[in-house]
Amino acid sequence: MEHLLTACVWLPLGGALVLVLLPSVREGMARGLALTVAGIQLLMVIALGVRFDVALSGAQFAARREWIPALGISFHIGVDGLSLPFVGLVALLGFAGLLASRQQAEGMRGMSIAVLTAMGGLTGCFISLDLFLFYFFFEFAPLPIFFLIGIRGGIARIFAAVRFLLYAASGSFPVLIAILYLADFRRLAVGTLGFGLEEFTGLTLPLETQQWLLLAFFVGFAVRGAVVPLHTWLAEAEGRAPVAGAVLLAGGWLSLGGYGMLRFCPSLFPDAFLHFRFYFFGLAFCGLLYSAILILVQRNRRGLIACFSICQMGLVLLGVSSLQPAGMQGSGLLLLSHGLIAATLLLLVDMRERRERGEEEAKGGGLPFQPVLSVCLLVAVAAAAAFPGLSGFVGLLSVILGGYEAFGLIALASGFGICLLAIGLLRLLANDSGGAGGRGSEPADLHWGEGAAVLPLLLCIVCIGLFPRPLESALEGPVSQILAVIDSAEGRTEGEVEDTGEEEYLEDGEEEAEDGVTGSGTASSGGG
Amino acid sequence: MQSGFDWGILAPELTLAGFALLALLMEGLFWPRRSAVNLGYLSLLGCLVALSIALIEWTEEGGEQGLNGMLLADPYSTFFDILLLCATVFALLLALQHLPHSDRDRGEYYPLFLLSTLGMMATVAAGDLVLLFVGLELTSLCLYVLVGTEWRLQLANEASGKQLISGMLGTGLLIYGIGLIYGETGSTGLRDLEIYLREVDARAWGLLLPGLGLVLAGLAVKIGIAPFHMWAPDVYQGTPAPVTAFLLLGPKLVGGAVFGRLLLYGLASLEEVWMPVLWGLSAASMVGGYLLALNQRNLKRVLAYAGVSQSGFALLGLVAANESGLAGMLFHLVACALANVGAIAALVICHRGEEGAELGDYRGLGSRHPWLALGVALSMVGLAGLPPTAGFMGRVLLLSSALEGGYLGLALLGSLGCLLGIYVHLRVVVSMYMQSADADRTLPVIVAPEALVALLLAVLGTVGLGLWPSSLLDAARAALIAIM
Repeated sequence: MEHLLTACVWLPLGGALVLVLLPSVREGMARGLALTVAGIQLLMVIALGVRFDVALSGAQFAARREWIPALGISFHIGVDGLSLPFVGLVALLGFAGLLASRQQAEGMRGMSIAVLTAMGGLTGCFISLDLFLFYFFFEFAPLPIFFLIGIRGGIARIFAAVRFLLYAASGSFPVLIAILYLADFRRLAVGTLGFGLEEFTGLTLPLETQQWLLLAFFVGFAVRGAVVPLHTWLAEAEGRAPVAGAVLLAGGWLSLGGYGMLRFCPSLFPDAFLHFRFYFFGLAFCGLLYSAILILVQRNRRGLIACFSICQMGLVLLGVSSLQPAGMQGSGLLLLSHGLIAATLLLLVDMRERRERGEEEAKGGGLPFQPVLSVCLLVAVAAAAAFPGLSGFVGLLSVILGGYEAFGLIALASGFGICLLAIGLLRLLANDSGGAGGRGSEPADLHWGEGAAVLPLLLCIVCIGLFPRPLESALEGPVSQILAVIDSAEGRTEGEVEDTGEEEYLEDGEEEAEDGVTGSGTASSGGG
Repeated sequence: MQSGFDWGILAPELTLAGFALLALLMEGLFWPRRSAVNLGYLSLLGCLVALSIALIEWTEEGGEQGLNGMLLADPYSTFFDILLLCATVFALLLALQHLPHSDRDRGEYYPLFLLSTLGMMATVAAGDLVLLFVGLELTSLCLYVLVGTEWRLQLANEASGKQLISGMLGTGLLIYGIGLIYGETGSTGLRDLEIYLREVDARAWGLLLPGLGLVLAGLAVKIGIAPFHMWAPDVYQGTPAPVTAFLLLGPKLVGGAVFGRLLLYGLASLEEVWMPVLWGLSAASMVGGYLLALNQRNLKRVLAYAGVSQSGFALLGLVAANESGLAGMLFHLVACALANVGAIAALVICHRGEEGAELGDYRGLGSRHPWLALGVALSMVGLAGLPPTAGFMGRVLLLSSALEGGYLGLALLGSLGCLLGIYVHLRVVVSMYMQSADADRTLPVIVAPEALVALLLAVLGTVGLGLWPSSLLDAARAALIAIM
């Protein structure tokens, strides 16, 4: 099974390489090949999901190989209940995006390459257990998405792509400096350079250092996750990108930001996180309300979806900053469901807009009634507005519960933001269907290819909404691990109130590391 | 001290000199009427022979000195010999593509590359300021001629003039500084200098520090480190593209080597004096170079300013002054050299006048010549320092070493420089892949096997070292034992 996980990174990248090496392949053929690769990737992730044992804690299917021994960097990968769903999400969205972009006549080869590369890069981020390896993919992933946004576009599209890349890069350099600083700190404490994730959790840094490093990490992830003051690139990138790019951007890329906030920020810098959590809450709360108000004045549909994303990211941050089991699990759920919903909305809106454009060109008299498209859109909008029984609701409920436990009544006020969001999103449903036209090149309603792209996503949305239990139990383990680190930090600060000597390096980093390795070893043998 | 001189340690240099003289002789006596391309292949052969000798030397344990410590044939200099010879091979491959298409297909052009490389190799192996000076002058003299090859063009005249004047300025500063140092210490050997600095009281140094300052400034002018970089863009723009490649590769490598040897071997005890100066030079170059490149439209000028920044990054490793910093510097120099070869190969293949292509000329290259565009794009990604290229690893190593040395501020400035660099270099990628070509501005593409080989090797190196950096890193560490 370890090989299957390794293949999840290399298969899409290999597929992209094959396409790169075949420059004369026809565009449709390139898309078919990419679609096959994405399909295999999806099947592999499903196989991993079936073998995944929820009861085990720690990373499963772990594999480790030396990469740069001189710096203590290894190719160390594995998944736990927090990362596996996102690996699946990336595979699903890449598949759906490729399936839905059939209509694009030219540039399909380039787009297929970019989609596959982005899938590989994002998957790599989610499964890395080595901080350097994580950063490698973290910095690599923007490149294909940059191509996805800007490929074959006008000035506005290029502007959006360049802006996206510069934002992403300016977010990643603070993370790089922080990771290197952390590694250097660990080297001073332990004696050897190393980047393994589990080796850092036993490290006790002085509070002030932690605060700076946490801020650096947070900025990096907040830029990726479009948390409010750093969200300005999103609407433009999502609005201009071709549909496959927009889907991966909204689903995979934003999830990466949220995942980083959930996975790395609290567990690497517990003391500083406890110190900053109220600021994070404030940021999340303001962002939530701000985006909810913003949505009321949005005019175009993709802008509405971008506002929805920003709002959901605010909620995710709220859940993380609550540091309650319910809130953090809710964050994970919400992140996942946001990826699914935003991607579905983007796909559907793109399909409708394409029909409208065709109708305009053919000078038809408005679109005829489109029952399937409208129903799909209705379900997706209902999910986005957190309708019970759909995936958006479950996550939202736990986040608000967690927020209430941590911050009291004010967290409930975020419900107000959700109401505004729902009102704003309703406008996605408005259209002028019922005309007698249908003269555009497209069939009036969804055809099978488009349906095949959208239906799995909708199915996931409904399934998570009705049966959230498996996912919740998968998230339970990782979340309780993160909270255990936080708890011990809390205990430490309470214990050390009288002596302020904080420059104390705990030497148990090695022990923790060994524990982690053996834990993952048993987990993988159990999994295989 | 030593009875007989071991000529073996000079084998690569002698081979190179022999081939250069042979090529000149051939040109004068036997092949005056033939095409000069033959001489190009002869020079290439000479380079490859010298390269294989250097590689054999690398595998042997060494650490010899020749000419009473004037020449240091240690792993450090052998490492740089190999790099310089590889750089020359690349430049010759590009020249073989370029020259037959210009009307100045002159035979003496190729031996000049070899002689210039010979100078660089002497500089790198110098254990004495006099040999360092002689080597640098040999290099510079050949470069003055090479830069001026296209003397009928106005831009080339300007380039040649600027190169000559700034080079002479560097020479003047350097020789004056060496003079002061000799006057104060009575010797020009690096080893003697190091002993003098350790044993003589700081108050009795007199003119030593001004002398060292002048030497550093002279070197900075020759390499093109901000704020001594003003000549670089004009010179790079006016020269034929293969010479631009040579200017981007050779002097940067030599600069890194000489700075490393001089500061850590000769002046190690003066660390607190040169460190702040180097800090300033590094910061100014890293950020300044890319800031100036932001608004450039000519690819050669972009590369020139980017080259200033790359030198600044190399200095970052010297400022950190630890083993990982120097290893990072060597890695970074190699990574930049490879990526620069890829970028210049594009310039040579897409031939557009002597002033070089504007960025807009590359529009639509991605769809017209996908292979070529891919190679250029990967080189640009390498220059921008993004994964999965060697440039990324180099940057990470340098930033890591800066943090290890406690220079957080410089590391932050460095990451600002990286950010600017991403914008600067990806502009080329944007015009290749995201903009469609204007009908009247498509570049004629002249593809010759030599340039394709250069591009292919460079791109493979860039990506290969980005994914498997360990071998080069280990080699760099082995080379550093000689000076640390």
